[in-house]
Amino acid sequence: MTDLVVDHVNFAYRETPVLTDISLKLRPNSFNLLVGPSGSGKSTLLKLLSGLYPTFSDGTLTGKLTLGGYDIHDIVPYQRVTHIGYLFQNPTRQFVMRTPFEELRFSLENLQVRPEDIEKRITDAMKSVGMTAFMHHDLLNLSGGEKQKVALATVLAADSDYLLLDEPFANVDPVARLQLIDVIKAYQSQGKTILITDHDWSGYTDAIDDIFVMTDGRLHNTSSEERQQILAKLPNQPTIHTSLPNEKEGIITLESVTLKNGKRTLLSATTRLLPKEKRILITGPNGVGKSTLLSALVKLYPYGGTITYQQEDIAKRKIAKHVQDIALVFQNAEQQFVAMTVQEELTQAQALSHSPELWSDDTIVTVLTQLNLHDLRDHIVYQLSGGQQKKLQVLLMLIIGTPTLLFDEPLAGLDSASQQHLLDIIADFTTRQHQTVIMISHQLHAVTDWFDYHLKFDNQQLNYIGGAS
Amino acid sequence: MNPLIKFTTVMVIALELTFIKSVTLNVIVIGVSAFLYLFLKLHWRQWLWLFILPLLPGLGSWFSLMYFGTGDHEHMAWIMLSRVFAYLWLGGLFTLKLNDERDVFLATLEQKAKLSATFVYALVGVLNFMPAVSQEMKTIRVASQMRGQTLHIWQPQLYFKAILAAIRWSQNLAEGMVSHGFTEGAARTHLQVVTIKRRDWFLLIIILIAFQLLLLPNWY
Repeated sequence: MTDLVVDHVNFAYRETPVLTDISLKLRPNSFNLLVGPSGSGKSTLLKLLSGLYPTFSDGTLTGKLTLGGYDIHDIVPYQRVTHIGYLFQNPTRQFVMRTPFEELRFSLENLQVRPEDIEKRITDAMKSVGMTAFMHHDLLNLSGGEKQKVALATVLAADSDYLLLDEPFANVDPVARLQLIDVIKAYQSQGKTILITDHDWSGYTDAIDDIFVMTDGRLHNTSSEERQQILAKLPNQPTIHTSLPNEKEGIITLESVTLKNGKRTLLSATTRLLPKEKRILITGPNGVGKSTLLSALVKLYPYGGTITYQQEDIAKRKIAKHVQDIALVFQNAEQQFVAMTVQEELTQAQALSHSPELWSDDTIVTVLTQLNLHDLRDHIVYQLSGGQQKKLQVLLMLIIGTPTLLFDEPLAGLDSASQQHLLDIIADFTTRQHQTVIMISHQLHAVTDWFDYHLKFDNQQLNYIGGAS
Repeated sequence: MNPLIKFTTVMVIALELTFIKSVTLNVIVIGVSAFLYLFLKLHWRQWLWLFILPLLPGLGSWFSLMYFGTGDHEHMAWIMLSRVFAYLWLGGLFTLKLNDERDVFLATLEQKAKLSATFVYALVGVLNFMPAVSQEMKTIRVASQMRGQTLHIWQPQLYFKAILAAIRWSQNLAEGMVSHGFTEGAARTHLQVVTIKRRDWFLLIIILIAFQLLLLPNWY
């Protein structure tokens, strides 16, 4: 097997360094785990190793990534993929064709596999992930977990020596997770090398040979004691202090609400109420349907049962009217911009604010300064960094002052200081504007004492957890 | 019939129609197309489209020539009206079945017409993304409604944002293709090798000759 070597690699977007002086060599036929907080640069390193970066990024690279002595980037894709297989964090982004069969066929034809071998390789790969029944199904209708299995089948079929997996189990339910782990272990036993990034390594701790830790773009190879330490403590979850609600009425009520993704049930008939003027946290594993639930609340996703807003069936409310009472702060900030510059956005939001007296120019200056956005007023919103866009988007939605605000991972990708500032501002203004806040977040360290109530979404159930009030 | 052969036949006839000033010939083309449609088992909605779609441009040119034209304008008016119908009905023979024949058509373009695989698969990717586009438009509109601003279909902002989304998709598509080992200009193997039957070539020639013969009489 040819060696995959990373030699003093730096990677930066304009002036922002993402990776700093990274060197890495994978032992042949080893199982490697790459850990580190989100946003620390794990995905970037994997994309560089796969050869997709720097081509598909606007970052600059210094240092060398080589495969058997050749620069990874100089190897043509059809040869590179036979050596290095890469599984995207979001499988949807990987698909090019309409059905799993076409997807695998496309890949194998690119790799110039002989036509008489193609069908067998497709069948074998699909069989190993247990997806033969879905061979000719439309990819759009598969669940997140099923898509992930097909994506894995595609890289398995390519039979690469190195397999780079970026949080492969993020959207996968626990049962499928164990299946996929077995598939990957079996693949490694054929002499392949695995590099996997993950936040939760339960189920394959015994398979791990080497652990690399990424912090703020720096890579650290662990000693055997450190390894033991990391493996012993599963990612620790901070305790969230919330109580159980005892309100009899809610601003939003769910009555026997069900959610589905294709054929898969996300939420089985659930009746819950969400109290007014409270801060409610929703947590749960990836792919259980948290975002889908928020989409359903703003009528962007079909659901079963009845959802009411202030005792009114939302199915009967016009969407334009509905979203003036309950708005979603989208995961993708760009979707929510309506103007070109930061200043234009702010002016627009001020003009349409539900509480214009609260949002004087002075207030806005203060808040912008707190969020480190004050010097960017003339900038084009689409040219801001991901974190700046997110902060601006949250601020704009606060200015509008919609009575109920739904936040989908507003803290993801922000450093801890920004997270704290943003949470303070949200708390301050939503209290003054008597708003109800419903938030999905994985950044639990920042919010241990911030929420009133905590809804846990798991196993198709949505339940309040916390101490009695 | 192989869709590329069908496409060629339709294109050649349509090109010739452009230079032929004959109502009769246009009507014959429409008639033959209509006859073929009977075998294609169209949905009633497709029939409706076949009638409605050419109506506006057809009648538009008919009226302008009839009432504002000079010279042989009455004849020209009827020619234009029938020509628009002839184009559409002829084109429909190819496009209305394209959904079923899409894969064969693209494979033929790649393997027989030697069109660049980059172009062919970019087209495949785009066609596969189509269903997601309407959902994206909906999301864009609702997202801005949440900002208190309604984007109407005539507002450029809506399209600006749709274009941004399209740019993101195209980058994803390119990245996805490369991650699957797609290499511009490199050789590929093909699970299914497209063959164009000799019968198809024969039909193409017969149809085109028959059409040329139709041109001989001096039709109205």
